[in-house]
Amino acid sequence: MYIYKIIIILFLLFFLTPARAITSSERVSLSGNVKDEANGEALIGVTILIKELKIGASTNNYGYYSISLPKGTYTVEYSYVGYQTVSKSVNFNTLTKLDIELKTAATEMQEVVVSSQRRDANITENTMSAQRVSINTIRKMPALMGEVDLLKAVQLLPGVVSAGEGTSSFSVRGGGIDQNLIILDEAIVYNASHMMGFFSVFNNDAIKNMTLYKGDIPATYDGRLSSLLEVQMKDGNSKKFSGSGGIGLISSRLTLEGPIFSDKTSFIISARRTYADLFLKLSSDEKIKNNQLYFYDLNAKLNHRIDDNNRIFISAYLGQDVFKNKDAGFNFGNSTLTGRWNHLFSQSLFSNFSVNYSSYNYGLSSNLSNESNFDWKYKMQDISLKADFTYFISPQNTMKFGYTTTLHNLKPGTITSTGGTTSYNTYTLPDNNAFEQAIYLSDEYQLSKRFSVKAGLRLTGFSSIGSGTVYRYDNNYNAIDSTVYKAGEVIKTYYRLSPRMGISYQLDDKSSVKANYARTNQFLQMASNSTAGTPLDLWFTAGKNVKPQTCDQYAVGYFRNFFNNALEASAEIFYKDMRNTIDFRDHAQLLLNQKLDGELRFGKSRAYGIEMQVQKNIEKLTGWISYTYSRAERTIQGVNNNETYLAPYDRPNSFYIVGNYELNEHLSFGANFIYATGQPVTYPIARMEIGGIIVPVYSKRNEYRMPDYHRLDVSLTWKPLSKKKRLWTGEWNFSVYNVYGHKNAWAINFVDDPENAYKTKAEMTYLFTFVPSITYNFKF
Amino acid sequence: MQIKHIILSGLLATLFVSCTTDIAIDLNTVAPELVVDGAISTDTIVHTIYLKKTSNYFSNEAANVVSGATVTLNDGISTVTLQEDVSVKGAYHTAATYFGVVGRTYTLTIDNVDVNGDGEKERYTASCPLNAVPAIDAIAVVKGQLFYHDVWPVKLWMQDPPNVSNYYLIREYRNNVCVSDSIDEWGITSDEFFDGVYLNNETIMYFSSHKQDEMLVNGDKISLEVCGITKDYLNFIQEVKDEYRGRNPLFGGQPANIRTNIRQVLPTNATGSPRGYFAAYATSWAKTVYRTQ
Repeated sequence: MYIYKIIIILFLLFFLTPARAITSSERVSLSGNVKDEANGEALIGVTILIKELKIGASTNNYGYYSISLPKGTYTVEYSYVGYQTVSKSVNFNTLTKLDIELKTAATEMQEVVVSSQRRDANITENTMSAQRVSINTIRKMPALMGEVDLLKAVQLLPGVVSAGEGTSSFSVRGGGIDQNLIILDEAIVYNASHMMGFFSVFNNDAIKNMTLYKGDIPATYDGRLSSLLEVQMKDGNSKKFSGSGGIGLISSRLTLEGPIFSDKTSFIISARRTYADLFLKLSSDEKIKNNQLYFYDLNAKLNHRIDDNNRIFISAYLGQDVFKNKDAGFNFGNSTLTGRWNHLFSQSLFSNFSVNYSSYNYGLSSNLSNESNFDWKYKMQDISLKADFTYFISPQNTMKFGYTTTLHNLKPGTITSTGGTTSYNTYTLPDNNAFEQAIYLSDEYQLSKRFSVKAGLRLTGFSSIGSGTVYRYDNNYNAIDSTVYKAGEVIKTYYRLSPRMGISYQLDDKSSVKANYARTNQFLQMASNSTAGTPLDLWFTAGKNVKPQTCDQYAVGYFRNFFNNALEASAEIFYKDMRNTIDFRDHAQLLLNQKLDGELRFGKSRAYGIEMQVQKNIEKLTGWISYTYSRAERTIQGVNNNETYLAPYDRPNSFYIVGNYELNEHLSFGANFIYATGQPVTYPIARMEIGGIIVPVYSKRNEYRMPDYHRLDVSLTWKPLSKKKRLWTGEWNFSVYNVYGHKNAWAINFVDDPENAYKTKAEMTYLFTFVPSITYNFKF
Repeated sequence: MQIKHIILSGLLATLFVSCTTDIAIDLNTVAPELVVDGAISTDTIVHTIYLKKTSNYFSNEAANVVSGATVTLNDGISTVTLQEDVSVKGAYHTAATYFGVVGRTYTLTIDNVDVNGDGEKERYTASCPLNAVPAIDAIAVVKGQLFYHDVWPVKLWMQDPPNVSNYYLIREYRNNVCVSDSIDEWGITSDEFFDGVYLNNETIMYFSSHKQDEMLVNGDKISLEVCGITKDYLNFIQEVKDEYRGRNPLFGGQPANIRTNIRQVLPTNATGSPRGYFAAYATSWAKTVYRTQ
């Protein structure tokens, strides 16, 4: 019944428009592409403003914008953080296409920002809980071992906490680390970490834009409860052949980009590899010499503009981590491949069709001589087709709709044995397959100058399908029997609706109030016992024994800008109510378990909090300060005696300061300060002697807390002056991670005191204190 | 799976450069609870059940024992009473002629105790079926290398019974002294990967040069004990090892209490819980002498 109400409201909005708008013969469309003047990259999220009408729009993920307005002469202003604003006076009498190129503001730093500029998109846009961090900001931030990292920057945003020291995994608004949908050029990335999470899979040189949606997730996406991290690769310099790269202590990278034959086609290739293991070969110690320990990744993209209305893109990513020594080996990696076609049916109807493939795999093998050796391979892959449309109906009304279909194939693995004299059976874990389809419709409507409303609805059909084997469990979670399904046979289907709703009310030029409701569903989750996420994590789908998880998120926010939009401030309160939350039984066996469903326990959870942030994006000093108060708890049948306990990411207070100061053209300083309450943890409250050793007896789950986490990182970027004209420009980056060397607890274990037979003690393991690094970055 | 754990810990050892430091933590305390530790096997020997109490985590002394309890053992046919050791309090023995029989279920009952000291008498009980174990055809010990250190793998020839889920506890002896005497050194495995397979010269356990008492010399008499345990007991042993080893955020699970098969019967509204395990299993033995090549 409720679905019908939403559809009716949307249709009414649709039909209201003609009554209010001027007839189409008196309306023109202004549309076009906004690019970076230096390299032709499409710019995402550029604000376009028709000053006289106070109508605005912004460029989409492909740099395209479209506004419908009455005929006349107007001043159109294009503004974007980090770039000089462009103002054009245009007489619109017919359909007008206006392509614009913006220059970066970096070369004009001395000038004070002109007062007529409006950088108030955060006030006027009917979007909340979203953070866009520019790649240039990330590049200047201090980094662990000199590796500037997108996901480490995400961990410094309000409402986000890192899942552990050094890891790339993160938790948004109290959610789990598997509840973030990470998308690279429309393909899903399942495990965004290299080297146990110390580095992410994103090579900064290949990335153009990153947006994190913590709530108010657009109806175009669903599938994860807590957030959407949308990452777009650069398209490639369409004006001239150029490149950039860096040489660091841990890894080096090189990016080459340029046009092919003309500016209609461009490419970009980025590669990165660590080389710590090459130094290992210099060691005379046999233990170290033959070890292999490296990761590499490769990003490639090709884009071609067929004509004004058609553009195609092919993007690919490939990465692998390898650890190997004489006796055993371990590798894991992701790959994605997407093909996209932008097509303009008309200036008002923009569409994008894509085919996407992503895969995540790992392997563990042993290589002992004279022994039976095993080889375990795990692989999961997705293939999906998407069609997304944006219809710019009128100045007040933009509609989006689309369709997606995805096939998931998860192969938890086959273990084969080789060598040795015993003939072991091949051990196979059953495949997990699923077929997913979704349609969505959303509409954003400007009811009046101050009041904007949006509503969206997404319907997903998720079917767990064969081939596969499903076990049936009794009330004690023991497997009773199993059913084998043939390929394509439907095991269980779920239909889920995700309604979205948002309102935005502008109080005045400088401030606004927004409210948002969104329901998200999650059909794939990680079976992981660890808090930080490991490369051996496996994903499983909803199915006969597992219902999809659901989250209802409510958020209200107040947004205000100061000093003529130089300072943006916001405060947001959120509340999340989640059902069918999944946790694992005590001592769950998740690896190599044919009966994985029997390890799961279900219940509900909730999270709430307040996020406050002040941000400055212009002039010499830029950065932000944020404080978040956030709580999260779970109640799961079969865990902690069915009593409520704190979720692993309940971190009540987190405080971040991120800053960058451009002293002059050659020198800039960066600093990050992080303070977060320690993670909840379970400690012993007694001990017992059994089998000749002492083992702990524990409190209720997560009754204690680890010590609070804090550290300060600093960096210095120096671009040396060169008297001669060189082929390239370079800059040095000096970084220190954890300047005052605070020992942040990574794990706390209760162990025997080696000196005293019956004595036990608490021992804290910490990873990084005072890590300096140097990187040389170059551009040509 | 034994090999999997060895591989993972070996790989991690080569990766991690982390530091540790002692840290002072305030922990709560609770009233003492009963800890039962003992087993009945098919061997004709004295079988001992130890009864102790839990203590505060930082108590730093040996655990208190439970003395003067009435401990009885029933195998479905008859009941025997265990006698407390005269000098080692808290140790309750069967007669030296007692042996377990495959197929019977053994029930231990503990009466006449007041572990939490609240004045009310308590009663506990635990049950375990005694599973069979196949005979060992032969064992041999050779010298080898694992992750760059010397080891002596113990090779096994044994037929795993097909179509039955078998769970094994393995201990090794050197010159009649058990070198895998503490529970973190016990070997455990299930036949999940080799059900019905004939284990042919397969490494089942290692003597490691990392431990003083495991460095073999020419002429050492080596014995191997293979016990057929229950799945629940195997999970208990694995959980003890996991909790003893400690954890890190990458490869550990959540800390949780080790399972138990001890139940408190009286008083009926008791708030604490008993801990430990009472097990029953069949045992197979094999011997060999280690000769250097």
